[in-house]
Amino acid sequence: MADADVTTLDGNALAGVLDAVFGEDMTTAIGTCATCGVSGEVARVVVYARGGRARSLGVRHVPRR
Amino acid sequence: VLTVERLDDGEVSPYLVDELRPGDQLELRGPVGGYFVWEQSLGGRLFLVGGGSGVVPLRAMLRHHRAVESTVSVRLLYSARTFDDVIYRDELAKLDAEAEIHVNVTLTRGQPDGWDGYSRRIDRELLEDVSWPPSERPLTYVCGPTSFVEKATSELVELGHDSALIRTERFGATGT
Repeated sequence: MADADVTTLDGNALAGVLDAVFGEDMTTAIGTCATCGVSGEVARVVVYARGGRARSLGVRHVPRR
Repeated sequence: VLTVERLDDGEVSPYLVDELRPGDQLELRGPVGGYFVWEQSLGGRLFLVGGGSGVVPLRAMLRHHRAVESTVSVRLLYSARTFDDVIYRDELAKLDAEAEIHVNVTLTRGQPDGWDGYSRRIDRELLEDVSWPPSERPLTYVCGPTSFVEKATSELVELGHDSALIRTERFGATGT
């Protein structure tokens, strides 16, 4: 579960920012976590709303930025 | 079609609701968010679960379903606070009359006289009541506040649904 004081979202929330950077919808892009090797759509990562970080689904670490 | 829910402490929605006038010009980017869509080629059955304005993308899926005259069976579970908070009421009633579409609404904060829908927050029993059995392997879309999405998905997985068939979109807290 999410920490009580941190709002967690998912990769859908990154759609606008990533579109501004890459010029297209990135939520369906497949990413692979550099640390644990899990693959999945960008939309499925856990996003910390105020932390500026995204981590892969199902693990408790923060991928390299 | 865009739907805007005004949040008192929102950065953008009060402007869109209170300030924007017909004829004003806006610059739009997108569409983005292609992960949380349904199209006919994905098949079904479909189970759509929306909390509050989380029903918005689900209604877009239902409109698409009608536009392509899909025969995929769909069940929608929509959780709202009160009857007045239910958006697209008339449209959802019409959709519910379609043979392929079944709409369930639960009202969590108050119900009008004669209400015959559900009257509580989503829980495992309610989800089991309205969802397809896990053996039918429905494609499931859940959208709403983060806590709503976490609750719905964890209960669905507990009921035996394959998490790989569940797509989610969280929009954080909504001041509840």
